[in-house]
Amino acid sequence: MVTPAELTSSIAAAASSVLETMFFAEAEPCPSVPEEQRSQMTAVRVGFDGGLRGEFRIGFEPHLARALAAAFLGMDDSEVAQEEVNQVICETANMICGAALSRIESDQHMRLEMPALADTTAECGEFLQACFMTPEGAICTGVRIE
Amino acid sequence: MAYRVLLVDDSPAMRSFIRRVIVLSGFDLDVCVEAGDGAEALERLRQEKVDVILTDINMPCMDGEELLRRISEDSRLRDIPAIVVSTDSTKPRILRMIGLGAQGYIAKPFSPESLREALEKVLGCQV
Repeated sequence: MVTPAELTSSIAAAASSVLETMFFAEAEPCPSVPEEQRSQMTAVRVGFDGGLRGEFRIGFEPHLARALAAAFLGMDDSEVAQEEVNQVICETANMICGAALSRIESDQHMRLEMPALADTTAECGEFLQACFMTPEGAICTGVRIE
Repeated sequence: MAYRVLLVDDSPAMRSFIRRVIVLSGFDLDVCVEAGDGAEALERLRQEKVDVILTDINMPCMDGEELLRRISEDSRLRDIPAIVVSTDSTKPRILRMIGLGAQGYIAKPFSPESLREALEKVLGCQV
C-alpha cells in the first residue's frame, strides 16, 4: 500500500525531473499558493489505473504555462499559440503523472488516460496536494487514489 | 548519411520537441514523417520508406503496443528499428515492448543525450 508521503514525494521528484530535463527549469517545493493565484491557473487532469487507480491534477499559472511551451517548442513566448500552450501542459501533466506512478509501482501494469484541460475551480478536497514555485510562476499538483 | 524518421505521438508538441532534439543532436534529417497514432503510422509506412521509428505507447485509436505488433507481423516492415518513447517506464511494459521488437526504450522525461545515444545505437552511427 502506497502511503500519502510516498505519493507526494514521488510526484515532487517527477515534477522536478520533468521540469529540469525537458524544460531546463527549476522548481522548489512551496507550502501553498494563494487562492487568488490558484484560481487563475490553467489545469489539466489525467486519470490512471492499473496497480493504482485514481486521478492526477496539475495547475500552471498562465505566464509559466506560456514560458514552458516556448521553451519546449524552441519559440519566443509571443509566438506561441494558446493551442500549443495547452498541448505542452497536457504533455507535461502526462509526463509527471507517468513518471511518478512508474517510480511507485515499477512492477505493476499502468494505464494513463489522455490528459485533458480541467476546471480549476473543481473541488480538490480529497486530493493530496503539493505546490512548487519556479521563477516564472507557481504549479499546484493534486492526486487522489480510489 | 541523411536519415528518414517516423515520429509517432498523439502530442504535436512532443513530436515537434523530438524532431528539434534530433536535428540539434547533429543528425542529418532527410525526412521526418509524423503520425498521431499507430493506425496513421501504418498508413504512412505504406507510403514512405523510413530508417527508424520513434513511437509513444499511449495513443488513441491504435496504441504503440499494437503498432509494434502489426509491424512485427509485416515482413516489409519488421526490419525497421523501433525505439519506444513513453512516460510508462514500468518493468512489465518495457519487457512487453522489447518482446514485440523494440530495439530501444526511452522513458519520458528524457535528456537529449539519451535520445541521441539510442538513435546512434539503432542506426549504427555516431554524430
